[in-house]
Amino acid sequence: MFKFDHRSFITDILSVGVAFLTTTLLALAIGEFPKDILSAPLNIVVLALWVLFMVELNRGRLSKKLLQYMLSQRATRVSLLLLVVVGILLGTDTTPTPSSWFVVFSLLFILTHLGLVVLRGCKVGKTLRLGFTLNHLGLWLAITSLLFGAPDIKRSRVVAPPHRALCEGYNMQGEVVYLGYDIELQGFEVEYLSSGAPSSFEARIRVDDKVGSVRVNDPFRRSFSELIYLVSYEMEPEGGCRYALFEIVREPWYPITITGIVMLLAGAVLMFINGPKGCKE
Amino acid sequence: MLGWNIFIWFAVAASLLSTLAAIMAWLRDGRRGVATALSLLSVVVLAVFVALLWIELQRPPLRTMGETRLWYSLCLLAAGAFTYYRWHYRWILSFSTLLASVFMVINILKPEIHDQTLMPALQSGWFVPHVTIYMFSYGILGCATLVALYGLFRPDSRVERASEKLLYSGLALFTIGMLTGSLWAKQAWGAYWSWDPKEAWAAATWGLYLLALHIGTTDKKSYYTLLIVAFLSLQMCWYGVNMLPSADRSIHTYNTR
Repeated sequence: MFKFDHRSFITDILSVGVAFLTTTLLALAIGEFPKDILSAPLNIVVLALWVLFMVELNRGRLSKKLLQYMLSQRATRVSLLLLVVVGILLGTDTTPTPSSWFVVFSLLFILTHLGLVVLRGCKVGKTLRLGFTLNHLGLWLAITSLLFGAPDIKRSRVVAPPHRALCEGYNMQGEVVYLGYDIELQGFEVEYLSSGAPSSFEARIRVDDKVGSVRVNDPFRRSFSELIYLVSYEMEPEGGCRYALFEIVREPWYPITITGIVMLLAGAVLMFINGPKGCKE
Repeated sequence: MLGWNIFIWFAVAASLLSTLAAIMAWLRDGRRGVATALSLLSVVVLAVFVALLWIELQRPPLRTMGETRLWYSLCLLAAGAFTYYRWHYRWILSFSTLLASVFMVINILKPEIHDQTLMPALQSGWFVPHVTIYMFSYGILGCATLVALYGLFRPDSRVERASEKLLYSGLALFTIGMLTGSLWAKQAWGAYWSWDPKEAWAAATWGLYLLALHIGTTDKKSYYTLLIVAFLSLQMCWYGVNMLPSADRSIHTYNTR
Protein backbone atom coordinates (compact mmCIF):
# COMPACT_ATOMS: atom_id res chain seq x y z
CA MET A 1 0.00 0.00 0.00
CA PHE A 2 1.43 3.40 -0.85
CA LYS A 3 0.80 7.13 -1.06
CA PHE A 4 -0.97 7.95 -4.25
CA ASP A 5 -0.27 10.95 -6.43
CA HIS A 6 -2.36 11.78 -9.51
CA ARG A 7 0.53 13.35 -11.43
CA SER A 8 2.80 10.37 -10.94
CA PHE A 9 -0.03 8.10 -12.08
CA ILE A 10 -0.35 10.10 -15.31
CA THR A 11 3.43 9.77 -15.73
CA ASP A 12 3.03 5.99 -15.29
CA ILE A 13 0.41 5.89 -18.05
CA LEU A 14 2.73 7.96 -20.28
CA SER A 15 5.61 5.54 -19.53
CA VAL A 16 3.46 2.63 -20.71
CA GLY A 17 2.56 4.62 -23.84
CA VAL A 18 6.26 5.28 -24.56
CA ALA A 19 7.05 1.58 -24.07
CA PHE A 20 4.27 0.67 -26.49
CA LEU A 21 5.45 3.15 -29.14
CA THR A 22 9.10 2.14 -28.80
CA THR A 23 8.37 -1.58 -29.09
CA THR A 24 6.03 -0.96 -32.05
CA LEU A 25 8.79 0.98 -33.82
CA LEU A 26 11.21 -1.84 -32.99
CA ALA A 27 8.81 -4.37 -34.54
CA LEU A 28 8.49 -2.21 -37.66
CA ALA A 29 12.27 -1.92 -37.94
CA ILE A 30 13.39 -5.51 -37.31
CA GLY A 31 10.18 -7.58 -37.33
CA GLU A 32 8.42 -9.44 -34.54
CA PHE A 33 10.22 -10.97 -31.56
CA PRO A 34 12.10 -14.11 -32.73
CA LYS A 35 10.66 -16.42 -30.08
CA ASP A 36 11.70 -19.68 -31.79
CA ILE A 37 15.44 -19.00 -31.47
CA LEU A 38 14.95 -18.84 -27.71
CA SER A 39 14.30 -22.57 -27.29
CA ALA A 40 16.48 -24.74 -25.00
CA PRO A 41 19.28 -24.34 -24.09
CA LEU A 42 19.41 -20.64 -25.02
CA ASN A 43 16.29 -19.77 -22.98
CA ILE A 44 17.79 -21.45 -19.88
CA VAL A 45 21.03 -19.47 -20.31
CA VAL A 46 19.09 -16.20 -20.78
CA LEU A 47 16.91 -16.95 -17.74
CA ALA A 48 19.97 -17.81 -15.60
CA LEU A 49 21.63 -14.52 -16.64
CA TRP A 50 18.38 -12.65 -15.93
CA VAL A 51 18.10 -14.14 -12.42
CA LEU A 52 21.80 -13.36 -11.81
CA PHE A 53 21.16 -9.78 -12.94
CA MET A 54 18.27 -9.46 -10.46
CA VAL A 55 20.31 -10.96 -7.60
CA GLU A 56 23.23 -8.63 -8.28
CA LEU A 57 20.88 -5.66 -8.64
CA ASN A 58 19.23 -6.58 -5.35
CA ARG A 59 22.64 -6.75 -3.64
CA GLY A 60 23.29 -3.20 -4.75
CA ARG A 61 26.25 -4.13 -6.96
CA LEU A 62 24.67 -2.60 -10.07
CA SER A 63 22.78 0.66 -10.53
CA LYS A 64 21.23 1.76 -7.24
CA LYS A 65 18.88 4.11 -9.07
CA LEU A 66 17.55 1.25 -11.17
CA LEU A 67 17.11 -0.90 -8.04
CA GLN A 68 15.31 1.93 -6.29
CA TYR A 69 12.96 2.37 -9.25
CA MET A 70 12.30 -1.35 -9.78
CA LEU A 71 11.39 -1.75 -6.09
CA SER A 72 9.23 1.37 -6.04
CA GLN A 73 5.46 1.68 -5.92
CA ARG A 74 5.69 3.31 -9.31
CA ALA A 75 7.17 0.09 -10.77
CA THR A 76 4.22 -1.84 -9.28
CA ARG A 77 1.76 0.55 -10.95
CA VAL A 78 3.61 0.43 -14.28
CA SER A 79 3.74 -3.42 -14.11
CA LEU A 80 0.00 -3.64 -13.54
CA LEU A 81 -0.76 -1.02 -16.20
CA LEU A 82 1.37 -3.02 -18.65
CA LEU A 83 -0.63 -6.14 -17.80
CA VAL A 84 -3.91 -4.25 -18.36
CA VAL A 85 -2.76 -2.87 -21.72
CA VAL A 86 -1.47 -6.28 -22.86
CA GLY A 87 -4.82 -7.83 -21.88
CA ILE A 88 -6.86 -5.20 -23.73
CA LEU A 89 -4.64 -5.37 -26.84
CA LEU A 90 -4.75 -9.17 -27.06
CA GLY A 91 -8.43 -9.23 -26.10
CA THR A 92 -9.50 -6.94 -28.92
CA ASP A 93 -7.04 -7.87 -31.66
CA THR A 94 -8.37 -10.26 -34.30
CA THR A 95 -4.84 -11.38 -35.23
CA PRO A 96 -3.02 -11.23 -31.90
CA THR A 97 0.72 -11.69 -31.47
CA PRO A 98 1.33 -12.89 -27.91
CA SER A 99 5.05 -12.93 -28.69
CA SER A 100 5.23 -9.31 -29.90
CA TRP A 101 8.00 -7.08 -28.58
CA PHE A 102 5.51 -5.16 -26.42
CA VAL A 103 4.15 -8.30 -24.77
CA VAL A 104 7.66 -9.69 -24.21
CA PHE A 105 8.87 -6.34 -22.82
CA SER A 106 5.82 -6.11 -20.53
CA LEU A 107 6.27 -9.63 -19.18
CA LEU A 108 10.01 -9.07 -18.65
CA PHE A 109 9.31 -5.82 -16.80
CA ILE A 110 6.69 -7.53 -14.61
CA LEU A 111 9.06 -10.46 -13.97
CA THR A 112 11.94 -8.20 -12.99
CA HIS A 113 9.79 -6.15 -10.64
CA LEU A 114 8.18 -9.26 -9.14
CA GLY A 115 11.55 -11.02 -8.81
CA LEU A 116 13.08 -8.09 -6.94
CA VAL A 117 9.99 -7.71 -4.75
CA VAL A 118 10.22 -11.42 -3.86
CA LEU A 119 13.96 -11.17 -3.12
CA ARG A 120 13.40 -8.11 -0.97
CA GLY A 121 10.05 -8.72 0.61
CA CYS A 122 9.54 -12.40 1.55
CA LYS A 123 10.78 -11.78 5.05
CA VAL A 124 10.04 -9.01 7.48
CA GLY A 125 12.68 -9.39 10.12
CA LYS A 126 12.90 -13.15 10.57
CA THR A 127 9.27 -13.94 9.80
CA LEU A 128 8.38 -15.47 6.46
CA ARG A 129 5.33 -13.69 5.01
CA LEU A 130 3.49 -16.75 3.73
CA GLY A 131 0.62 -15.15 1.77
CA PHE A 132 2.91 -12.53 0.22
CA THR A 133 5.51 -15.14 -0.77
CA LEU A 134 2.97 -17.59 -2.21
CA ASN A 135 1.27 -14.89 -4.31
CA HIS A 136 4.36 -13.10 -5.61
CA LEU A 137 6.72 -16.08 -6.05
CA GLY A 138 3.88 -18.20 -7.51
CA LEU A 139 3.10 -15.50 -10.06
CA TRP A 140 6.81 -15.12 -10.86
CA LEU A 141 7.15 -18.87 -11.52
CA ALA A 142 3.96 -19.00 -13.62
CA ILE A 143 4.97 -16.03 -15.82
CA THR A 144 8.55 -17.28 -16.12
CA SER A 145 7.41 -20.65 -17.46
CA LEU A 146 4.85 -18.91 -19.70
CA LEU A 147 7.51 -16.65 -21.21
CA PHE A 148 10.74 -18.70 -21.18
CA GLY A 149 9.10 -22.13 -21.50
CA ALA A 150 6.87 -21.28 -24.50
CA PRO A 151 9.54 -21.95 -27.17
CA ASP A 152 10.13 -25.45 -25.70
CA ILE A 153 6.50 -26.56 -26.02
CA LYS A 154 6.33 -29.04 -28.89
CA ARG A 155 3.00 -29.89 -30.49
CA SER A 156 2.56 -32.57 -33.12
CA ARG A 157 -0.50 -34.22 -34.63
CA VAL A 158 -1.18 -37.81 -35.62
CA VAL A 159 -3.98 -38.88 -37.96
CA ALA A 160 -4.66 -42.43 -36.77
CA PRO A 161 -6.84 -44.88 -38.70
CA PRO A 162 -7.96 -47.87 -36.58
CA HIS A 163 -5.54 -50.72 -35.90
CA ARG A 164 -2.46 -49.23 -37.52
CA ALA A 165 0.61 -48.54 -35.38
CA LEU A 166 2.16 -45.15 -36.22
CA CYS A 167 5.49 -43.71 -35.16
CA GLU A 168 5.38 -40.42 -37.09
CA GLY A 169 3.26 -37.29 -36.90
CA TYR A 170 3.26 -33.71 -38.18
CA ASN A 171 4.31 -30.57 -36.37
CA MET A 172 2.31 -27.33 -36.63
CA GLN A 173 4.32 -26.31 -39.71
CA GLY A 174 3.21 -29.52 -41.46
CA GLU A 175 6.66 -31.16 -41.30
CA VAL A 176 6.99 -34.86 -40.51
CA VAL A 177 8.27 -35.54 -36.99
CA TYR A 178 9.44 -38.84 -35.49
CA LEU A 179 7.55 -39.61 -32.28
CA GLY A 180 10.00 -42.02 -30.73
CA TYR A 181 7.23 -44.53 -29.87
CA ASP A 182 4.24 -46.31 -31.46
CA ILE A 183 0.69 -45.05 -31.20
CA GLU A 184 -2.30 -47.14 -32.33
CA LEU A 185 -6.05 -46.44 -32.36
CA GLN A 186 -7.58 -49.66 -31.05
CA GLY A 187 -11.23 -48.57 -30.86
CA PHE A 188 -13.58 -45.59 -30.98
CA GLU A 189 -16.98 -45.10 -29.39
CA VAL A 190 -19.46 -42.28 -29.93
CA GLU A 191 -22.77 -41.67 -28.15
CA TYR A 192 -25.35 -39.43 -29.78
CA LEU A 193 -28.18 -37.19 -28.57
CA SER A 194 -31.65 -37.55 -30.08
CA SER A 195 -30.79 -34.45 -32.14
CA GLY A 196 -27.94 -36.39 -33.79
CA ALA A 197 -25.22 -34.33 -32.14
CA PRO A 198 -22.51 -36.33 -30.32
CA SER A 199 -22.94 -36.34 -26.53
CA SER A 200 -19.60 -38.04 -25.85
CA PHE A 201 -16.79 -39.76 -27.73
CA GLU A 202 -13.82 -41.79 -26.60
CA ALA A 203 -10.78 -43.33 -28.31
CA ARG A 204 -9.01 -46.41 -26.96
CA ILE A 205 -5.31 -46.23 -27.77
CA ARG A 206 -2.09 -48.15 -27.31
CA VAL A 207 1.13 -46.20 -26.80
CA ASP A 208 4.04 -48.66 -26.95
CA ASP A 209 2.91 -51.22 -24.36
CA LYS A 210 0.57 -48.92 -22.43
CA VAL A 211 -3.17 -49.07 -23.18
CA GLY A 212 -5.66 -46.34 -22.23
CA SER A 213 -8.47 -44.08 -23.37
CA VAL A 214 -8.60 -40.47 -24.55
CA ARG A 215 -11.62 -38.16 -24.37
CA VAL A 216 -12.16 -34.43 -24.57
CA ASN A 217 -10.92 -32.97 -21.25
CA ASP A 218 -9.27 -36.29 -20.42
CA PRO A 219 -5.93 -36.72 -22.23
CA PHE A 220 -3.65 -39.77 -22.12
CA ARG A 221 -0.53 -39.13 -20.07
CA ARG A 222 2.49 -40.76 -21.73
CA SER A 223 5.03 -39.20 -19.37
CA PHE A 224 5.14 -36.49 -16.71
CA SER A 225 5.34 -33.68 -19.27
CA GLU A 226 3.82 -35.32 -22.36
CA LEU A 227 0.08 -35.65 -22.93
CA ILE A 228 -1.93 -37.00 -25.87
CA TYR A 229 -5.20 -35.19 -26.68
CA LEU A 230 -8.15 -36.25 -28.82
CA VAL A 231 -8.73 -33.32 -31.16
CA SER A 232 -11.15 -34.64 -33.79
CA TYR A 233 -12.45 -37.74 -35.56
CA GLU A 234 -14.31 -38.80 -38.67
CA MET A 235 -16.84 -41.63 -38.92
CA GLU A 236 -17.57 -43.92 -41.85
CA PRO A 237 -21.12 -43.64 -43.29
CA GLU A 238 -21.85 -47.15 -41.99
CA GLY A 239 -20.81 -46.16 -38.45
CA GLY A 240 -17.17 -47.23 -37.96
CA CYS A 241 -14.39 -44.77 -37.23
CA ARG A 242 -12.38 -43.66 -40.29
CA TYR A 243 -9.69 -41.93 -38.23
CA ALA A 244 -9.04 -40.07 -34.99
CA LEU A 245 -6.86 -36.98 -34.82
CA PHE A 246 -4.53 -36.81 -31.81
CA GLU A 247 -2.40 -33.90 -30.65
CA ILE A 248 0.74 -34.67 -28.67
CA VAL A 249 1.92 -31.87 -26.38
CA ARG A 250 5.39 -31.96 -24.81
CA GLU A 251 5.86 -29.29 -22.18
CA PRO A 252 9.19 -29.65 -20.35
CA TRP A 253 8.49 -26.61 -18.12
CA TYR A 254 5.32 -28.27 -16.77
CA PRO A 255 6.64 -28.75 -13.17
CA ILE A 256 7.53 -25.04 -12.87
CA THR A 257 4.16 -23.92 -14.24
CA ILE A 258 2.17 -26.22 -11.98
CA THR A 259 4.25 -25.19 -8.92
CA GLY A 260 3.55 -21.52 -9.69
CA ILE A 261 -0.19 -22.13 -10.15
CA VAL A 262 -0.50 -24.19 -6.95
CA MET A 263 1.39 -21.50 -4.97
CA LEU A 264 -0.87 -18.79 -6.42
CA LEU A 265 -3.96 -20.85 -5.58
CA ALA A 266 -2.79 -21.26 -1.98
CA GLY A 267 -2.00 -17.52 -1.85
CA ALA A 268 -5.49 -16.64 -3.12
CA VAL A 269 -7.12 -18.91 -0.53
CA LEU A 270 -5.07 -17.21 2.21
CA MET A 271 -6.05 -13.81 0.81
CA PHE A 272 -9.73 -14.81 0.98
CA ILE A 273 -9.38 -16.04 4.56
CA ASN A 274 -7.22 -13.20 5.90
CA GLY A 275 -8.68 -10.26 3.96
CA PRO A 276 -7.04 -6.82 3.87
CA LYS A 277 -5.76 -7.05 7.44
CA GLY A 278 -3.74 -10.21 6.75
CA CYS A 279 -2.27 -8.77 3.55
CA LYS A 280 -1.31 -5.42 5.06
CA GLU A 281 0.38 -7.12 8.01
CA MET B 1 -39.47 -27.41 -19.87
CA LEU B 2 -40.74 -27.56 -16.29
CA GLY B 3 -37.63 -25.98 -14.75
CA TRP B 4 -37.79 -22.65 -16.51
CA ASN B 5 -41.61 -22.61 -16.63
CA ILE B 6 -41.79 -22.32 -12.85
CA PHE B 7 -38.86 -19.88 -12.59
CA ILE B 8 -41.16 -16.83 -12.51
CA TRP B 9 -42.68 -17.97 -9.18
CA PHE B 10 -39.29 -18.48 -7.56
CA ALA B 11 -38.03 -15.19 -9.01
CA VAL B 12 -41.06 -13.28 -7.67
CA ALA B 13 -40.76 -14.97 -4.25
CA ALA B 14 -37.00 -14.31 -4.01
CA SER B 15 -37.40 -10.68 -5.14
CA LEU B 16 -40.27 -10.05 -2.69
CA LEU B 17 -38.38 -11.57 0.24
CA SER B 18 -35.26 -9.62 -0.65
CA THR B 19 -37.26 -6.38 -1.06
CA LEU B 20 -38.87 -6.96 2.35
CA ALA B 21 -35.40 -7.55 3.80
CA ALA B 22 -34.21 -4.28 2.22
CA ILE B 23 -37.19 -2.40 3.74
CA MET B 24 -36.53 -3.98 7.15
CA ALA B 25 -32.89 -2.96 6.86
CA TRP B 26 -33.92 0.69 6.39
CA LEU B 27 -36.18 0.61 9.44
CA ARG B 28 -34.63 1.39 12.78
CA ASP B 29 -35.54 -0.32 16.10
CA GLY B 30 -33.53 -3.50 15.90
CA ARG B 31 -34.93 -5.17 12.77
CA ARG B 32 -31.50 -6.34 11.71
CA GLY B 33 -32.18 -9.98 12.57
CA VAL B 34 -35.44 -10.03 10.56
CA ALA B 35 -33.72 -8.38 7.56
CA THR B 36 -30.89 -10.91 7.68
CA ALA B 37 -33.33 -13.84 7.97
CA LEU B 38 -35.47 -12.58 5.05
CA SER B 39 -32.44 -11.99 2.83
CA LEU B 40 -31.14 -15.49 3.62
CA LEU B 41 -34.59 -16.90 2.84
CA SER B 42 -34.52 -15.21 -0.58
CA VAL B 43 -31.16 -16.90 -1.23
CA VAL B 44 -32.62 -20.26 -0.20
CA VAL B 45 -35.64 -19.82 -2.50
CA LEU B 46 -33.44 -19.13 -5.53
CA ALA B 47 -31.04 -21.93 -4.53
CA VAL B 48 -33.98 -24.36 -4.46
CA PHE B 49 -34.85 -23.35 -8.03
CA VAL B 50 -31.22 -23.87 -9.10
CA ALA B 51 -31.30 -27.36 -7.54
CA LEU B 52 -34.61 -28.20 -9.28
CA LEU B 53 -33.29 -26.94 -12.61
CA TRP B 54 -30.10 -28.99 -12.10
CA ILE B 55 -32.21 -32.14 -11.56
CA GLU B 56 -34.50 -31.30 -14.51
CA LEU B 57 -31.63 -30.67 -16.95
CA GLN B 58 -29.58 -33.61 -15.63
CA ARG B 59 -26.47 -31.42 -15.77
CA PRO B 60 -25.14 -28.41 -13.85
CA PRO B 61 -27.10 -25.33 -15.03
CA LEU B 62 -23.94 -23.41 -15.89
CA ARG B 63 -23.71 -23.52 -19.63
CA THR B 64 -25.84 -20.82 -21.23
CA MET B 65 -25.74 -17.08 -20.61
CA GLY B 66 -29.24 -17.37 -19.08
CA GLU B 67 -28.02 -20.00 -16.64
CA THR B 68 -24.96 -17.98 -15.62
CA ARG B 69 -27.26 -14.97 -15.07
CA LEU B 70 -29.30 -17.16 -12.74
CA TRP B 71 -26.16 -17.97 -10.73
CA TYR B 72 -25.20 -14.30 -10.78
CA SER B 73 -28.59 -13.36 -9.26
CA LEU B 74 -28.11 -16.05 -6.60
CA CYS B 75 -24.54 -15.01 -5.81
CA LEU B 76 -25.49 -11.31 -5.69
CA LEU B 77 -28.28 -12.01 -3.19
CA ALA B 78 -25.89 -14.19 -1.15
CA ALA B 79 -23.11 -11.58 -1.26
CA GLY B 80 -25.61 -8.83 -0.31
CA ALA B 81 -26.95 -10.91 2.61
CA PHE B 82 -23.42 -11.69 3.80
CA THR B 83 -22.29 -8.05 3.53
CA TYR B 84 -25.37 -6.89 5.45
CA TYR B 85 -24.92 -9.56 8.12
CA ARG B 86 -21.20 -8.79 8.50
CA TRP B 87 -21.08 -4.97 8.19
CA HIS B 88 -24.73 -3.91 8.62
CA TYR B 89 -24.98 -1.52 5.65
CA ARG B 90 -28.65 -0.65 5.31
CA TRP B 91 -28.42 0.23 1.64
CA ILE B 92 -26.58 -2.90 0.43
CA LEU B 93 -29.70 -5.07 0.40
CA SER B 94 -31.55 -2.50 -1.76
CA PHE B 95 -28.75 -2.48 -4.29
CA SER B 96 -28.23 -6.25 -4.38
CA THR B 97 -32.02 -6.80 -4.65
CA LEU B 98 -32.29 -4.33 -7.53
CA LEU B 99 -29.35 -5.81 -9.45
CA ALA B 100 -30.36 -9.44 -8.85
CA SER B 101 -33.96 -8.63 -9.88
CA VAL B 102 -32.75 -7.06 -13.13
CA PHE B 103 -30.95 -10.31 -14.02
CA MET B 104 -33.96 -12.40 -13.02
CA VAL B 105 -36.26 -10.26 -15.20
CA ILE B 106 -33.86 -10.65 -18.13
CA ASN B 107 -34.00 -14.42 -17.59
CA ILE B 108 -37.80 -14.40 -17.55
CA LEU B 109 -37.88 -12.45 -20.81
CA LYS B 110 -35.08 -14.42 -22.47
CA PRO B 111 -34.29 -17.74 -20.78
CA GLU B 112 -31.81 -18.98 -23.45
CA ILE B 113 -32.32 -22.67 -22.90
CA HIS B 114 -30.49 -25.25 -24.93
CA ASP B 115 -30.33 -29.04 -25.06
CA GLN B 116 -30.30 -31.11 -21.90
CA THR B 117 -26.82 -32.58 -22.15
CA LEU B 118 -23.56 -30.74 -21.80
CA MET B 119 -21.53 -30.68 -24.98
CA PRO B 120 -18.42 -32.88 -24.73
CA ALA B 121 -16.10 -29.84 -24.35
CA LEU B 122 -17.87 -28.90 -21.10
CA GLN B 123 -17.93 -32.40 -19.61
CA SER B 124 -15.17 -31.88 -17.06
CA GLY B 125 -14.70 -32.02 -13.32
CA TRP B 126 -13.36 -28.45 -13.51
CA PHE B 127 -16.60 -27.07 -14.98
CA VAL B 128 -18.68 -26.56 -11.83
CA PRO B 129 -15.91 -25.18 -9.54
CA HIS B 130 -14.54 -22.90 -12.28
CA VAL B 131 -17.89 -21.29 -13.19
CA THR B 132 -19.43 -21.12 -9.70
CA ILE B 133 -16.29 -19.57 -8.17
CA TYR B 134 -16.28 -17.01 -10.99
CA MET B 135 -19.99 -16.27 -10.50
CA PHE B 136 -19.50 -15.79 -6.78
CA SER B 137 -16.55 -13.47 -7.38
CA TYR B 138 -18.66 -11.49 -9.90
CA GLY B 139 -21.36 -11.15 -7.22
CA ILE B 140 -18.91 -9.91 -4.57
CA LEU B 141 -17.13 -7.57 -7.00
CA GLY B 142 -20.57 -6.30 -8.08
CA CYS B 143 -21.23 -5.42 -4.44
CA ALA B 144 -17.77 -3.80 -4.22
CA THR B 145 -18.74 -1.63 -7.20
CA LEU B 146 -22.00 -0.57 -5.51
CA VAL B 147 -20.03 0.30 -2.37
CA ALA B 148 -17.53 2.25 -4.51
CA LEU B 149 -20.36 4.21 -6.19
CA TYR B 150 -21.74 5.06 -2.74
CA GLY B 151 -18.26 5.92 -1.46
CA LEU B 152 -17.61 8.32 -4.34
CA PHE B 153 -20.45 10.55 -3.12
CA ARG B 154 -20.55 9.79 0.61
CA PRO B 155 -17.07 8.71 1.68
CA ASP B 156 -16.57 7.48 5.21
CA SER B 157 -14.25 5.03 6.91
CA ARG B 158 -16.87 2.24 7.17
CA VAL B 159 -17.54 2.36 3.42
CA GLU B 160 -13.79 2.29 2.86
CA ARG B 161 -13.33 -0.78 5.03
CA ALA B 162 -16.27 -2.58 3.42
CA SER B 163 -15.00 -1.89 -0.10
CA GLU B 164 -11.55 -3.18 0.86
CA LYS B 165 -12.94 -6.38 2.35
CA LEU B 166 -15.17 -6.98 -0.67
CA LEU B 167 -12.27 -6.25 -3.02
CA TYR B 168 -9.93 -8.69 -1.25
CA SER B 169 -12.46 -11.53 -1.08
CA GLY B 170 -13.80 -10.90 -4.62
CA LEU B 171 -10.31 -10.68 -6.10
CA ALA B 172 -9.19 -13.82 -4.25
CA LEU B 173 -12.13 -15.76 -5.74
CA PHE B 174 -11.52 -14.21 -9.18
CA THR B 175 -7.90 -15.41 -8.97
CA ILE B 176 -9.02 -18.91 -7.96
CA GLY B 177 -11.53 -18.91 -10.85
CA MET B 178 -8.79 -17.89 -13.29
CA LEU B 179 -6.37 -20.54 -12.00
CA THR B 180 -8.94 -23.37 -12.04
CA GLY B 181 -9.67 -22.23 -15.61
CA SER B 182 -6.00 -22.50 -16.54
CA LEU B 183 -5.79 -26.02 -15.04
CA TRP B 184 -8.89 -26.99 -17.03
CA ALA B 185 -7.42 -25.43 -20.19
CA LYS B 186 -4.36 -27.66 -19.81
CA GLN B 187 -6.63 -30.72 -19.55
CA ALA B 188 -8.72 -29.64 -22.54
CA TRP B 189 -6.33 -27.93 -24.95
CA GLY B 190 -2.83 -28.64 -23.68
CA ALA B 191 -2.01 -25.05 -22.70
CA TYR B 192 -2.48 -23.31 -19.38
CA TRP B 193 -2.72 -19.88 -20.96
CA SER B 194 -3.08 -19.03 -24.63
CA TRP B 195 -4.16 -15.34 -24.59
CA ASP B 196 -7.59 -16.24 -25.95
CA PRO B 197 -9.72 -13.02 -25.99
CA LYS B 198 -11.58 -14.08 -22.84
CA GLU B 199 -8.32 -14.94 -21.08
CA ALA B 200 -6.81 -11.63 -22.21
CA TRP B 201 -9.77 -9.65 -20.81
CA ALA B 202 -9.55 -11.69 -17.60
CA ALA B 203 -5.87 -10.66 -17.34
CA ALA B 204 -6.79 -6.98 -17.92
CA THR B 205 -9.55 -7.17 -15.28
CA TRP B 206 -7.23 -8.91 -12.82
CA GLY B 207 -4.60 -6.20 -13.42
CA LEU B 208 -7.14 -3.42 -12.76
CA TYR B 209 -8.34 -4.99 -9.49
CA LEU B 210 -4.72 -5.55 -8.43
CA LEU B 211 -4.02 -1.91 -9.22
CA ALA B 212 -6.93 -0.84 -6.99
CA LEU B 213 -5.65 -3.19 -4.27
CA HIS B 214 -2.09 -1.80 -4.45
CA ILE B 215 -3.16 1.85 -4.67
CA GLY B 216 -5.48 1.31 -1.70
CA THR B 217 -7.66 3.93 -0.08
CA THR B 218 -5.00 6.63 0.31
CA ASP B 219 -6.67 8.43 -2.61
CA LYS B 220 -10.30 7.48 -2.22
CA LYS B 221 -11.60 8.96 -5.46
CA SER B 222 -9.02 7.17 -7.60
CA TYR B 223 -9.54 3.96 -5.65
CA TYR B 224 -13.32 3.98 -6.06
CA THR B 225 -13.03 5.02 -9.73
CA LEU B 226 -10.63 2.12 -10.36
CA LEU B 227 -13.08 -0.31 -8.77
CA ILE B 228 -15.81 0.92 -11.15
CA VAL B 229 -13.52 0.78 -14.21
CA ALA B 230 -12.40 -2.73 -13.22
CA PHE B 231 -16.03 -3.82 -12.99
CA LEU B 232 -16.66 -2.50 -16.52
CA SER B 233 -13.68 -4.56 -17.68
CA LEU B 234 -15.23 -7.53 -15.86
CA GLN B 235 -18.39 -7.09 -17.98
CA MET B 236 -16.19 -7.20 -21.09
CA CYS B 237 -14.57 -10.39 -19.81
CA TRP B 238 -17.91 -11.99 -18.93
CA TYR B 239 -20.06 -11.26 -22.01
CA GLY B 240 -18.81 -8.09 -23.77
CA VAL B 241 -15.99 -10.03 -25.43
CA ASN B 242 -18.59 -12.09 -27.34
CA MET B 243 -19.63 -8.91 -29.19
CA LEU B 244 -16.10 -8.03 -30.33
CA PRO B 245 -14.69 -9.12 -33.72
CA SER B 246 -11.94 -10.94 -31.79
CA ALA B 247 -14.62 -13.36 -30.46
CA ASP B 248 -14.35 -15.21 -33.78
CA ARG B 249 -11.05 -16.71 -32.66
CA SER B 250 -12.20 -17.40 -29.09
CA ILE B 251 -12.50 -20.99 -27.90
CA HIS B 252 -14.68 -19.90 -24.97
CA THR B 253 -17.90 -19.04 -26.86
CA TYR B 254 -19.68 -22.39 -26.40
CA ASN B 255 -23.23 -21.09 -26.28
CA THR B 256 -23.03 -18.92 -29.38
CA ARG B 257 -21.78 -21.67 -31.69
